Amino acid sequence: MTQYGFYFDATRCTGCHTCEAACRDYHNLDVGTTFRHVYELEGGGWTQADDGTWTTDSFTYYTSFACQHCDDPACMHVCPTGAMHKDDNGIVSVDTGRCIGCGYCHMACPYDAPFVDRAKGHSVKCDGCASRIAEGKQPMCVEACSLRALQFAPVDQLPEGERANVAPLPDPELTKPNLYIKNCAAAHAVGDTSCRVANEAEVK
Amino acid sequence: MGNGFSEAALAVFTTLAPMGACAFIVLCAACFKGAFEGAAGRALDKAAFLPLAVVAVGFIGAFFHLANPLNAFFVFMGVGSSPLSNEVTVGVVFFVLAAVYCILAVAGKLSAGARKGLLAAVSVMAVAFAVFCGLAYTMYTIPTWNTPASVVQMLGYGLLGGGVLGLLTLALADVEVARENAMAGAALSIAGLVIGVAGFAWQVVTSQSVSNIWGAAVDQVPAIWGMVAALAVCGVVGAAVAGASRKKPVPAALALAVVVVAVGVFFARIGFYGLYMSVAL
Repeated sequence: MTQYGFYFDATRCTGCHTCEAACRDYHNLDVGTTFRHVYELEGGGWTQADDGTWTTDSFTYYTSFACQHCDDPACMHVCPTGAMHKDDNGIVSVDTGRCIGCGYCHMACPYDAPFVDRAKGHSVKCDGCASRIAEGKQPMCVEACSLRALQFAPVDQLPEGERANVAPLPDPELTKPNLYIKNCAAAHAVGDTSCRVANEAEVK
Repeated sequence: MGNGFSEAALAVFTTLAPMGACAFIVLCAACFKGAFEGAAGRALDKAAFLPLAVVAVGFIGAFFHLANPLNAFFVFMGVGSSPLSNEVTVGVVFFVLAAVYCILAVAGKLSAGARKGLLAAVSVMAVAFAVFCGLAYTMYTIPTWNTPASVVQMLGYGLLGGGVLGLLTLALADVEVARENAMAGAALSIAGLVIGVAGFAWQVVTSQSVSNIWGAAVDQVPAIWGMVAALAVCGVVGAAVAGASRKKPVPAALALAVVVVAVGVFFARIGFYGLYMSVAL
């Protein structure tokens, strides 16, 4: 089985959300639902020295991610029907003919990737734009990124990067995600609690 | 992030189904004391459909939780790997066994030995069902649920509600049979009260050290200790009415006690779902 994955270059990302908007548009998602998230993390502050001068260690960075198509997906482990499965490209997909829409995948995924669309009657999530991949094209988010911060390919063909090692993502050892990141200087590693999500209203 | 009321359908299921199932333990105890003889036995056989109906209502609640119940038969594909499949399978086995018992009993097709054997098997499956209802929530990516407390509290709720509902079932058939077997129902409900409240409190205590980027788990349900207290109060009312039945069982009081216990357990389940917190996002 080929294992596809995403590569994210945080040194290029400006947090413009074009990847997210393009994904939502292509998949015809309602406002408020999304397969891709762009998190804005911030932290630090200003300190005044004895001589009255100010210094800062404040920082901001962005991270863009969708389903990680993990090697060991938590959503698949708990799925009662086998609807959540990995296809021949290692993409975690939903068999809509089997899904009962119980929401267990949504509960279990530490990346908040799948969710139940009650109108459709099943879970929905990023499928790596499987139909576009089959046509030799790139996923919509990758193609839409004007900074070329995203890539999608078999993981052995992706540029070298750290495996999903950026806050606020979970420890990659949990599910072995197929997201590789080139972190920017401001980025904080997984487990760091000194940063906070600045765009909580957008991503929650 | 959790909002317990968004899982109200699941709360209905996990309140009613284990309660109805464990009520058969009281029927089993009464059977082994010879309560199913003569006219009282025929009335008891008809009354046994009450806890079965309570389980059925719980399952209907679970169906409302699903976005596509028509695919429900695929649930058995995940037996052994998915905790939800395991729960549903044990629940279905229990329900079929209990339904077979009720139908054969009311049709007069059960010998005394077969009745005891079948009721004992139904009781064992009832306890297993309550345990598997708790196990369904032990997922390694949800630290607030991934604790034995999730299982312990479900067992407690089943025994607490089952004790009172079982006594109501006996009382609806024959008040004297209920009086003679009140000790079994009261003991079951008191044990369930202690186990259920301890399990819920245990979960709240362990959740206090759980947090992620969004905040602390217990901050999501500010009234969580109030929910523990409400469960305890409702449980004490239920156990007290069950205990009082040793002198004079009153069906109306037992029915009210069943409702009070169900309300207490329901809000405890809302609190449980409200404590949902992923390891990360």
